Amino acid sequence: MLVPSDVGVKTFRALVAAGRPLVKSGCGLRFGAARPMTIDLPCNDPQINRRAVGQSGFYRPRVNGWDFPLKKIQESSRHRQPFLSLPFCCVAFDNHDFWAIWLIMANEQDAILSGRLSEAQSVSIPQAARLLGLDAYTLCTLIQRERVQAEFSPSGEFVISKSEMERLAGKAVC
Amino acid sequence: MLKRADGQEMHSVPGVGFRLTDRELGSFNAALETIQGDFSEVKPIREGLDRLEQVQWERPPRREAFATVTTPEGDWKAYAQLLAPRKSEVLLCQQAQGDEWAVIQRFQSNSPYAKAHGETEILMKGKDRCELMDEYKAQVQHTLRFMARNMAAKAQHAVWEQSPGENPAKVVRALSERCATAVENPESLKQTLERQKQQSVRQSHGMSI
Repeated sequence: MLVPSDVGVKTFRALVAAGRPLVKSGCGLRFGAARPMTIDLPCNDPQINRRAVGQSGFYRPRVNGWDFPLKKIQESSRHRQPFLSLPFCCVAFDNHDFWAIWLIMANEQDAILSGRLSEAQSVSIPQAARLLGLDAYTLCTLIQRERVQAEFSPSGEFVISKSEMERLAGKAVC
Repeated sequence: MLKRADGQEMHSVPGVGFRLTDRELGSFNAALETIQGDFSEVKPIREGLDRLEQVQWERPPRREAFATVTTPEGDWKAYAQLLAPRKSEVLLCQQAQGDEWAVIQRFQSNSPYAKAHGETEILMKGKDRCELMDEYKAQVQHTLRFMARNMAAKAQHAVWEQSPGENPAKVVRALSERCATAVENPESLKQTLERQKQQSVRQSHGMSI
């Protein structure tokens, strides 16, 4: 199994245990080095479908407090079914990281379609460091030593969940 | 000034191995603005690591211990400040009652993290001071790369925000290179770029799963 090089096996396992879907062969995902990627997933959201009928458009929701980079609604000429196309950039990451990002995006996509998302629950590393009275470098060392559990946001940036922040500071800090 | 066949001016950018058009440079600069704070955080750490690289760790410390650091594993005598991030310090220490060496991080005592988890933390320890320092320097470099990736992701997100519907692949690549340059020492950066160049040739056809 591929694991993201900087996240640590423990964090990656936690993501999988939290229900992140695994990549299956033949899913149509195509990727190469140093180029933006696109994932097409069937779209069952009635609101998106309404907007997509007979046109191409853009849909850029905030999900779980994170802005997805871009979602372009397209109609598959083969299936005559609206698809959400999720382009994102993988240039900064090696293939291992890239897989992890895809896993998370796919999971969030599932969540959009079934409407199970809650309010924003995470903070960025600079924000988290400020709240904990640390600097970003020190917080990053704690993440690497797995003293702090971080997760990928769909944009590829690391974030710290609210529950983790509370554990770290011993009280509510967000 | 270099121009493309279509007459567009191409600009060179520090820390980036290729040139950008006016429009690409605008996107690049705007995205870079969003990570200026992160850059300023990384710079002193990079400089601190460069200083550590210059020290001959096999030599015994020149001066006496300047502080005593208390940890759950006992007292340690501090001989050198290795790094000074903005809100903590990293010290090279030796056991007060023993010969073991340790790299110890000391947090600001009033920080919420220190209040919940203690003011000091032993990052690593060992009998051999040189081996310990080699390992610590590698760890600092690893953390800097981690930060560079996070900065690049943040900047790339800003690019996508600014140019919906476009394909800013070149700007995104430039940002990645710029962030990597900020945390690497020039020699290892040269090697990395060479390796990436070879990889991109190998993977230029992409992969399907």
